[in-house]
Amino acid sequence: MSGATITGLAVDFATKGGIHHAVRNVDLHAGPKRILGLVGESGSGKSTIALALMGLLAANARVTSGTLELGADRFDLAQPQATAALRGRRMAMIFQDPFASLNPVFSIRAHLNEVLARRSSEPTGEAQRRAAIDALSAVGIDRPEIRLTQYPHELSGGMRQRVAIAMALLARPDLLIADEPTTALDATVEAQVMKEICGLRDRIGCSIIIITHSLGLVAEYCDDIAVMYAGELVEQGRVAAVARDPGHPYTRALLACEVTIDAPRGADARRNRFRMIPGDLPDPMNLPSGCIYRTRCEIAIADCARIVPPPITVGAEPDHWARCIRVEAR
Amino acid sequence: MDSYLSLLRDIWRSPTGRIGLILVIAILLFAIFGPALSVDPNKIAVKDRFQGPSLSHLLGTDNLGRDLFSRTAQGTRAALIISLLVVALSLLIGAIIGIAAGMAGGWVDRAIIVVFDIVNSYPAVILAMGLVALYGTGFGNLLIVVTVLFIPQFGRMARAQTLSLRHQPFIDAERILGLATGKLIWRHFLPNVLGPLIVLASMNIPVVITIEAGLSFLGLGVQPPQASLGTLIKDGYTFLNQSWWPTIGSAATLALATLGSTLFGEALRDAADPKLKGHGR
Amino acid sequence: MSTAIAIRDAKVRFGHTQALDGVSLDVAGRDCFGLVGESGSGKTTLMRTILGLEKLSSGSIALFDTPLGKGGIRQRSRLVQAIFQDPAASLSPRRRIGQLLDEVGEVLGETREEIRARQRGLFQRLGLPTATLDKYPYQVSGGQARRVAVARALLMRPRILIADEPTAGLDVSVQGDLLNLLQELRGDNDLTLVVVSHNLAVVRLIADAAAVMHRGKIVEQGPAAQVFDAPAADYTRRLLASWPRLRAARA
Repeated sequence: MSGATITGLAVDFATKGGIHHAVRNVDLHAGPKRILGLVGESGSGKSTIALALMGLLAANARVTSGTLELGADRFDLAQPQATAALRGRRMAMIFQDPFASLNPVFSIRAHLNEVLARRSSEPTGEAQRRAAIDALSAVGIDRPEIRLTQYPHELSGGMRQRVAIAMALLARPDLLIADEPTTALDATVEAQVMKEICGLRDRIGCSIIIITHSLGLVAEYCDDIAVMYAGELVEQGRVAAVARDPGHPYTRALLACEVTIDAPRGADARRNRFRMIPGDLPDPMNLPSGCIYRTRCEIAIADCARIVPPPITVGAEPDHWARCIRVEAR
Repeated sequence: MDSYLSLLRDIWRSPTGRIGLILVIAILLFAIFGPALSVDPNKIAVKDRFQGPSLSHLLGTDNLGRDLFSRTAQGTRAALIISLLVVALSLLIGAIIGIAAGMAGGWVDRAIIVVFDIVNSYPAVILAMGLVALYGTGFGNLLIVVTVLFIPQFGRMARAQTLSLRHQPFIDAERILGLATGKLIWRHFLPNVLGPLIVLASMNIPVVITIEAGLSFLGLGVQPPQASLGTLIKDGYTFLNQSWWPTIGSAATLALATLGSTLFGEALRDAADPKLKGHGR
Repeated sequence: MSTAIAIRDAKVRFGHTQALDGVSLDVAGRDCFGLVGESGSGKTTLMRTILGLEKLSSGSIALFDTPLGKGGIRQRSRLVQAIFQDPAASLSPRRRIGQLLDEVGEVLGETREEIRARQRGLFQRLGLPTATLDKYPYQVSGGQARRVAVARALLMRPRILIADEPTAGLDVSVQGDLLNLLQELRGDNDLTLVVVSHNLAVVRLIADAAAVMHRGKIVEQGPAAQVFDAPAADYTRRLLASWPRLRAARA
């Protein structure tokens, strides 16, 4: 497994009001045995990226450009069904809604068997059953023999996500994409499920992209971080580097807004105020010239409207860059 | 008021809705003004029988020389009156029973559902025939029979709407304001329950017309010399190999009325769907 | 200082489920009280019971020393109001916003002029254009719907305002707006605020006191500094520990 690299990904949506360029010129790299946290708010395009990679976009969406390099192979994402053959084999996905990955009329065993069958080299019968039981135990599901016979509606949300992870474990993908895998789960269950996802990285050495709106989640569980704003990737780097020294004003603002469980708490709760980013997302049909963030940026200057910022290295850390011409002014 | 106007506008914008609206208005005009514009529909002039369309007889004459234009207009009027009355009555009664079932819950609800299911499981025409056999033909009885047939449909929809509305956040919000229950039901419950019911009503009108036509065709509905679309088709059918003019007018009117109502009803349903309207910007 | 909400041994049963299993708590007047817990903890049921949307199977609730019967929404509406999780869905879809807000005047027995004047004042305070009064709920943005819901609640002049999952569905970059608004409202009015949320980090910063619920029971209760920073109960500790931290990355 040698990681996944996405280059120049662009996705357009055809809407009543015109063409919406939902994702523009995104380069992502998810290293082998590393978890990349793709962070963004509403309208950032982060989920669109996942769907584009898996070939699950809506009918009115089109990948206009982009390549995926998985190990030694290249795939042109603009071709329809480019990644169809990879699904369930070299690429797997876990969805936000734990029910979405599982078909309610099939038993858990049937789900796991389906993944095993795609791996063709598996012998049938008892060995298959053992492999399924091992996968369920590996993700911390108790009494796996009984779980095999159960149906999705008999399991809790957290349990269903674990089954989805077990399916990914069996598929042994090169790239696993998890779209808001824990958003629908309680905090205690979230911690357990994220532990399993990290375990997956260690056990089979795949690359994992986790899509989330929670900076805290990325800080706690991911190795690398990529920040999306209004369809563009504005910053990428190792989590520690970006959290310590964010290069892009949006990343800085986002970090400031995030309410952490260990934030300083004065004696009088009334005095606590919360940060926010004033302004609105740019109108998708009428994007600003130059930098996408300049209409809300605290340090924007005249040049920001003229120049589309290229990725600029931040600090001394390798692979840490931000699309901002004023990185030095931070 | 303007929300109704915007509904009409949306219906006009959809191609099928536009056709439906035009047809519905055309049929309505025909039914309202047709009989006034023509000669006595019951005037028998046997020497003029089976004529084709002419200036004095726009749709020709039937087997007794009666003017078909006026008879068709009268038949359409009868069909529309019956169908509008039936639909309005069954909607009202169905809504009341359905809302009561939805609010009451428990055994009352279950009992009402069972009654609905029983009425629904009879094929409409057979049930109508049975009831007519018991109670006799005639306008009034026809009305009652067909109304009863349609109550369960409206009742079930009203009940389903009530059940889903009871737990909506906006109902909770209105409750905690301390709004009087009567006002709560009248202002916030009813409009949201009636909405889908009215759409169902407009889609049921052609069904009622067809059932009435069928019953009249079988001789169980409106009696001669009263004209209804069904009796006109039946009379024409008997003399089909001598002339097809008697049948054409009424059959075409029935088909157009059905098509128009259905298209209109579907467009109304789509236009009234708040989800399709979208949520803000 | 008076006790805004006094709950004694409240129990609520839905069929086979014991949603509230003997809950007792006190909310001090003019406090901001945080009611936290995971899904199924009973916090939403407790909130609905206080509002009168659910009936108690047993136990008692008193608001400002006025004991409430097992039903009696009418009694409570002057004392406690709420803003719900999905503000757009809490506005009756087939009526104009102005009509919805006029209903407050009806309930309070105010004249049209009185309620309209107060509406205008509140709208200005909340940054809502008066044109919003003529619109239907589906015609305004989510943020505006949220403010309309706040306006309606405040027009009732409640002494207690309950905010149900105020940050749910909100991006981190915009949630501050609503939270700061809640803080301001506390400051201006003689208002007791109850925030029902699963977002521990936020509640920790705005609450004076809090209670943690789990499976229909209260497992921990007390001043926020104690509940969030020095919890006594095991469950609370586990809950706080599973919350992701940013500092971990900065180390």
